[in-house]
Amino acid sequence: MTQRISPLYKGLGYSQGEIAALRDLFLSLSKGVRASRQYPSQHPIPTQFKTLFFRKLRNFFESTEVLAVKVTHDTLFVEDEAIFKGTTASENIAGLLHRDGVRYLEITSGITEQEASSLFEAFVTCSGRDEGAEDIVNLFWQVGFEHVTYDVVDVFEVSEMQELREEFDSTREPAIADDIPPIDNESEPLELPKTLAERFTDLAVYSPEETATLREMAESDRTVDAKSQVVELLLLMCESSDSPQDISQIVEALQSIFDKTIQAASFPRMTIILHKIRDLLDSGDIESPTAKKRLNDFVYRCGDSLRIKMIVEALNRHEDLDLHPARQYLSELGWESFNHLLWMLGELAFYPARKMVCDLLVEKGIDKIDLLGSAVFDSRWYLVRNVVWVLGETGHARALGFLRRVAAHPDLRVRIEVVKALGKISDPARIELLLALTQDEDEKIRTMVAEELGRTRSESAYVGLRKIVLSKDFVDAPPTEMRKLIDAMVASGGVAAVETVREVLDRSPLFNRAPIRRLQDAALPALKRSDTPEALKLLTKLANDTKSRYSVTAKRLLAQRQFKQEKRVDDESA
Amino acid sequence: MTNPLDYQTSRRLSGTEEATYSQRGKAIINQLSILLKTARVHSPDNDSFKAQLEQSYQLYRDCLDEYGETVVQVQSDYLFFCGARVRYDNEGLAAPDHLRDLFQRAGISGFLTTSDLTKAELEQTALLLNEADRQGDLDFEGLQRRFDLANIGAVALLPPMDEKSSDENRDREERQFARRTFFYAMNNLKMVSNTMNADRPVDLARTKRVIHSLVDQIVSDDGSLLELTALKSHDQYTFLHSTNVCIYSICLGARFGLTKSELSTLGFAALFHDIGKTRLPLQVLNKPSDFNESEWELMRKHPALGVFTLAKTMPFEERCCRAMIVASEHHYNLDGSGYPALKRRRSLNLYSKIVTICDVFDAMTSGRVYRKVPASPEQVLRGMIPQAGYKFDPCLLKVFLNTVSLYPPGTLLLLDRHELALVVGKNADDLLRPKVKIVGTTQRLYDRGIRMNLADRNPQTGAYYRSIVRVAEPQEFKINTARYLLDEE
Ligand SMILES: [Fe+2]
Ligand SMILES: [Fe+2]
Repeated sequence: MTQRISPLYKGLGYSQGEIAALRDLFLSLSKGVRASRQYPSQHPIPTQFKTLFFRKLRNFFESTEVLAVKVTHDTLFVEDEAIFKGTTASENIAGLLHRDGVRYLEITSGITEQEASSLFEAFVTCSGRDEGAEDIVNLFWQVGFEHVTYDVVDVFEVSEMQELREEFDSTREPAIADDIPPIDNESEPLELPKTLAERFTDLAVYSPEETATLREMAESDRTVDAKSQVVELLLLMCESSDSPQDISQIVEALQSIFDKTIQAASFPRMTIILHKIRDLLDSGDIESPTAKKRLNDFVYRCGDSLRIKMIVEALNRHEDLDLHPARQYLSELGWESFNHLLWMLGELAFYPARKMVCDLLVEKGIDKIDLLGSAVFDSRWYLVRNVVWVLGETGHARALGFLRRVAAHPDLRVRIEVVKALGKISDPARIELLLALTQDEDEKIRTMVAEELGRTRSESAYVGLRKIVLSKDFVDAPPTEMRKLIDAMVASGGVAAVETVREVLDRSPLFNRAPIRRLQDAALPALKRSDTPEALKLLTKLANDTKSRYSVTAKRLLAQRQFKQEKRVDDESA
Repeated sequence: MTNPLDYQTSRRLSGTEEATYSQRGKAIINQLSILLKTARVHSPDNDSFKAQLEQSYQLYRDCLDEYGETVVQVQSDYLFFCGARVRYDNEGLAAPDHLRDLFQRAGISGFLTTSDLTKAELEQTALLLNEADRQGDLDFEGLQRRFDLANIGAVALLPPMDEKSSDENRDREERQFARRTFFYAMNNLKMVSNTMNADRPVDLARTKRVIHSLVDQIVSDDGSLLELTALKSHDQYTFLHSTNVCIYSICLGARFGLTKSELSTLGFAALFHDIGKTRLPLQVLNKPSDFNESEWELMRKHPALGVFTLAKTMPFEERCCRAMIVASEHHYNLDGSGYPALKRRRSLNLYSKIVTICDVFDAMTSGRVYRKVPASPEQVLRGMIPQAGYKFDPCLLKVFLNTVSLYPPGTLLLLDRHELALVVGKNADDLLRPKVKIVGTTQRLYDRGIRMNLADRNPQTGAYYRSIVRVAEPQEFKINTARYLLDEE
């Protein structure tokens, strides 16, 4: 029972300095509580506030033994001095206590860091609570404080006793003397039922075996996983029942439990439940067709749109969740949930969760490219971008069809992802798409595409690139793009590309020379991308031709090439 | 010193007599109050005072002529007239309040008047009491001296009742607190189950709070709450029964080392063990005759119904899961018999084993479940003991027997002085001599029970004041147990 009155409240004689310290302590507590609601519990900010709260408490207890606080709906008092005033609802720690009936709070000097932390956390839990969640008195009780006591008005202390008593009054029948049967005047001797009396003589004494059995019972009960037991129990009831009505109710109960598990974001348990049901279905132990059907329906519902929506809500509530179990659960779901998984991508608030679903889709999507690809038509660019990423990660040639459909997506971010995705697909058909993208309106895309094409080192890429390089307008291309495209062409074109470079370098227009020179200045360094002897030959020739305006650059390129080769030899010998 | 309760017993008032005393007492008390108030504002020669004195004296005269002497006395805040408690409804409390306060300030518990009372003596009495009330600093001896000086022979002041020792006061407060918690638990269960039956999620904060309080009280001393488990009711059967089973379970668990937090979970599970019953039609639940087969089948569904209800309306937390397990298992026996029928045998949860014992005991002593006549607690225990090992876990049953003891609360005893006594608690060192409330004699029942410890002895002779003759049946004497368990407020 909690204390009924706080005997220590008056007469402690706090000094002005102590009062000031208390004002500071509770102000800091209220700010800490408010801040902690906005961060996950392991975040450094709540931890800092908690430490601060304990440090301030400890300082206060250096000169005093007891902190006795009177609580009103918005103010905390010590000896009638207000030490805390809750002005806003979010910071009113007095109100949190008062609402649940706490009228006095006493902390004594031995308070441990653990206790201070629990006290702090109780405030945090209660300040953000929904209707029907824990109240602060329950939380205090569960902590079982040693150095914190509280005087509380319990709801039952102010309940209507009289009214309740009347429920028994209705059955009152005052006895009338005449009704009472006479009994023998002679006292009957005290005769106890023998067996019972004998049993009771040694009742108060427990044998060592009995004590051990009892202790063992209590101990082993502590390892019971009640949640698992409930699920097992419901499944056993389902297996044992042949009444369709009962089976419906059992599965309904199971569903309710499962849905609450989702809300609590307990993914490991969700997986366990799903496994248990599947195992039961596989075991062939269920005879009732209704039970089989209902359980199969249950399994189907594990990944239906409603459940996936709940899962999204759960994932969006907890930013710092361990996502492995969530992925594990989602990977258990059948094909019928595939579209819902895709839908998740558009709804998840946090990047790690989106990444987790994308990874999962890669794993599952390899066999379901068409399903996956259909999502590129979604109106949300961010979803399309994720799907494009997934398509790329599959590396599957069938993805190209969908990438082509989305290659002209109005959002640049999607198109960037398309180029990256094309880089991950090895099918030669991608070259054509990349070449098409060299005509993209955005330079960034075009540049990326050029790099990608260069990496392909393929004949068809060369042919396409050569056409671009030699086209009339190419001289006006932005410098970086121009350089990257020529690099790509040289990288993928082999001997023929060296020839094309020579062709460019040999051009000598009569007027308007500047654009052509820019092109030539970009083309010459591209030769270093080619490993062919023809490239070396061309460079050497240009270097030796001291009258050529290419001579200096060609010499430098040769030197670089030399240096690189030597380094490679060194590295290899090392 | 005159003890109104002794007075009452020695006079052996019948019900009708008692009503008459109460009526007369009310009139006298009202008149005395008016007289004293008049004396405060008027001098003795004032006409209104004279008129009130005359009226008071007439009332007294009538009573004294009939009864020989009268006593007006306060005990435990109640006013007694000639040993009968003067009953007031909510109105008309001014006069008794006035007298009670006045007696307290005057340092007396009341006064006795003999039949030779004169009008002058009554006048003097009124004036002296009034003066004492005004001064407020007199003790009993001081006032007595003034009465002696005034030579008022027909009035004997009664000294203040022995203040209850602080232990007794604390006991009383604890009992009151226990009672409030108990009723709150029961009423709260009723509200929660209404919410559940509407398939709405429940707010468990209050339920947890009341269970925490039950655990705290039981851990410090289980007596006050165990006493209340003797309450049985037909109309409120399921809720009262569930509250009782909750208390028994916590008491049992507390005796073999469960932690407070485990006790809270156990109490929670026990409280909801029969929640499935609230889904059954009332005409079946309250059927006065035996069930037929289809009704039995319905009754056997309540454990499963309980699990469904809890699963749908409660959060999926440890304590709620325990409640579901207990709801489903509490009609299973150790040997695997019981219901609902399952394809495979499971080992029973510890909490289910505990609740099963408490459930059977309370159900049998309530006489509401599956049989009409309640058995005495002692009979039920006798029936349960041989079932250890088959139906009940033998070790846990032993702990339970230890908890409720040989004469569990609610047992009616016939004592050697032809008195009837209800057991309210036990003496740990003498299980054969429980604590009781004497509720009457074999000839008549008292208005209120008197607490008595059967282990008390006469300090001079060493003999017990009272001893048990045998266990009796409440219906044999038409005793309403609840009335005596709840008579102190
Ligand atoms: Fe039951
Ligand atoms: Fe029951």
